[in-house]
Amino acid sequence: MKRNWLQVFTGMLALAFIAAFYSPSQAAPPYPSRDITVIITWGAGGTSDLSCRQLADPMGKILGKTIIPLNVVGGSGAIGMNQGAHARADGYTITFVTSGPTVIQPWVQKVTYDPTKDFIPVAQVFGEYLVVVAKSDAPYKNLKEMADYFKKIGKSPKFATPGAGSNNHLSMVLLSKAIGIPMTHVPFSSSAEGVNAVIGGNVDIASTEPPSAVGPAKEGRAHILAILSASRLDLLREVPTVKEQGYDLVFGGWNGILVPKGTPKEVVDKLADAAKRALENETLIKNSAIVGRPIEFLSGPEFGERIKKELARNGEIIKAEGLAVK
Amino acid sequence: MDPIHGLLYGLSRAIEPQMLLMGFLGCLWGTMVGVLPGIGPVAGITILMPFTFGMDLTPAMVMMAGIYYGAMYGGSTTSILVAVPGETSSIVTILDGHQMAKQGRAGAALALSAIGSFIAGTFGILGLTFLAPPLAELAIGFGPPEYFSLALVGLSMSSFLSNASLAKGLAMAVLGLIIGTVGLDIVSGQPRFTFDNMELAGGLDIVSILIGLYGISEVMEMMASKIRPHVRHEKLWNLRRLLPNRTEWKLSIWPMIRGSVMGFFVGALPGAGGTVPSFISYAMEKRMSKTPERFGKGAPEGVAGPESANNSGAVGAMVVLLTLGLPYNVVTAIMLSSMIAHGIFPSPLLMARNPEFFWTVVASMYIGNFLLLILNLPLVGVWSSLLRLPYRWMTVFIILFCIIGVYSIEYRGFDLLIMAVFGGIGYIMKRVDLPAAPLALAMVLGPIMEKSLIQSLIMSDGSPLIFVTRPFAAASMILFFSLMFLPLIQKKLGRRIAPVGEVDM
Repeated sequence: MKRNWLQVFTGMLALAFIAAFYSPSQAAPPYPSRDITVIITWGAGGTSDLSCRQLADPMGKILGKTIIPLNVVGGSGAIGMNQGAHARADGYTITFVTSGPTVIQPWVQKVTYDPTKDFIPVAQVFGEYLVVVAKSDAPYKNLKEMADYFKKIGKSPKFATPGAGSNNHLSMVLLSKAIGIPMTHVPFSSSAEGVNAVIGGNVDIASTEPPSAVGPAKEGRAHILAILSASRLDLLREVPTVKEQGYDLVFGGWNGILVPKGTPKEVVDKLADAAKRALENETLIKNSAIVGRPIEFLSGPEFGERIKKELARNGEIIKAEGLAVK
Repeated sequence: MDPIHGLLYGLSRAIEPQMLLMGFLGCLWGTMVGVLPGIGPVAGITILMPFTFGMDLTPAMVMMAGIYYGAMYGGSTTSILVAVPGETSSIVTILDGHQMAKQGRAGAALALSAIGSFIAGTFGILGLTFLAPPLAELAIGFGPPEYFSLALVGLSMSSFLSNASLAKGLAMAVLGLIIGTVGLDIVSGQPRFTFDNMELAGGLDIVSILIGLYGISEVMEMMASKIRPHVRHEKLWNLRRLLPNRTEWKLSIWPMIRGSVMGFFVGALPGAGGTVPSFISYAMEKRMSKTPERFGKGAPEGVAGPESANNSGAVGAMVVLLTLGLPYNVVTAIMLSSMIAHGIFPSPLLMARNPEFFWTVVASMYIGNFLLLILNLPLVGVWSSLLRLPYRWMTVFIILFCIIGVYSIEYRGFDLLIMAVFGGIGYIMKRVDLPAAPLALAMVLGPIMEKSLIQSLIMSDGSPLIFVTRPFAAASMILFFSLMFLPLIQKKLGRRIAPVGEVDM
């Protein structure tokens, strides 16, 4: 036992000696010295997966290493978040987050991570906007006409979303308040299913990501009533925002990068810088416009503020809607 | 472009060396992926994704389509040989396919499955060529009430899936329904049976359960029977005659044709894919058979029908993918996101708006289907000779495949735990003679049924009349009730027509 202590002591002395002669940058190889894993909290094939892969490619090239996407699926994104939160804080495991598991799921289910305390925000990279779709032969072409129509017939419109407690669901709750009519929620499993339910006349409107609405809108089977962004989207130039239609509502999701707390500052800065520069990549700019997730960069601190603010706001909506975990 | 010209144009593109190569690589990789249960179809395709951002979409899509139906072809191989389903659509193949293998007819079962797949694939592609737009219209009219009533009919088929007693079958179906409710409730988002465990909140992965229930329990059975050597040991690996004999052919040809036609149309319903058609085909063949008691004991119809149905169903699923943008599994989801990344949005007008893309992909499927037959038939001998491996090696390899297969679905250790637990459950079920197939069917259909029931009732403001006022839903309901109660009435009247499982067992 005694000898062990002695060995440890000598070892520490030796380390201290070495440390005294080497500057920190020489002690550890400069970051990144090996490939980086980025956790995606959604399955392969979804829009989030696509956006993450589109970003990982140029970002890795800037850092001089490959960024390998890893889909960690389950619990509406909570499983991946948990893994990302408790990964080693060395910058070799980063998490590509969407708003759902960051600012919604902590209210809806018991999660084993704290989105504000367990992570350091690196950067927000994309904005994510939702549109409201109606059937093309519906007797309303904008939100005001829709509100008037349902007031007149004394019914509430039924809206489709990709699930309870989704971004889409929360946005529709807010929209219902903004335009002043009650609405009934019909949960589906994906945005595309919701849009098809609208076209098939099974529900009145659907909240969806732009890619699922573009096809049906182009061929005149569906009509996009509004987009919930602050300004019009390149992909959907002709679709007016909710604000333009006279209602005070902007609701957007986002994608960003988080690292576990305790990650060295220079690593965080390097990642943030690489993300920012990757967003200037032309292929990425083109592709992100096509999938309807425009580039919206926010620095780490700004992104952190946004997370805190939206977490608080969503908590209120979710509790009021009776969706909160008991 | 009309279909004929489109197809000719597509063929001229599809035989270009680059397209041919892509198609061939896709089929080869797909077959491998299918044969090794679950091994990286997702990883295999996602690795290609960044590469497709800069690449032309058409060859990428040709390759991905090759992987998709190649995996369908290969998926049945392990079901037949070692009772490990590579995916949900090859579960029913185990029932008779594996029995055939045990009786030394593995080669015949594999050949029937490959030929059935080819016939069905060809039929499905013909359907895709000529019927895609009208089918898309039909699928759009299919709302929650239609899904609910159809799922109900599907569930009533669980009694055809085993030779066990009605009570046992029902008990297992109910257990399957319960397992299907684990996770977050779709309306309120409240967790059910999750015990505050985040992994459980996502629901149980069905493929992990199936591999446990069938694959792991089969290994346990093998090991148990090794202690007490079984008589079947000598006869088991007799593989002198690899191809189906005349009787097997005669029995199989009609099931193949029926499976192909039905599979395509059912597969073209969003979400059905190849799985639902394979179950329907099995139940249908058993119901139509004059000797239903042979089913579950190595009836060739029980392989030929479902194997054809799942392949044409997979092609049918391409209709909803390309026209409505509804993927039914991860592979099709990745195809969809690659299309969107290139600015090609799914639409019933796809063939008019992007004829180059649409027809080349369709034409490449014809070629791929031939390639697969050529690839698979000679392999029948190779695969069946694997059965000559001694038990002690075989068990190790099966377990290895099961573990890699399950882990590569979503890279979650938790799924392995699920597989192990259900392996144990499956073994107990085998011992006490409880059928696994009704459980599997209920697990597949349960969530669809619950979701569409809730959606329908929200749509109708709570009135159940919605299920009888819509024509298709009403027709399905009538079918359901007649399937359920006709046998009882027949029994009451003392009029026994055909020996149907649910009446006399």
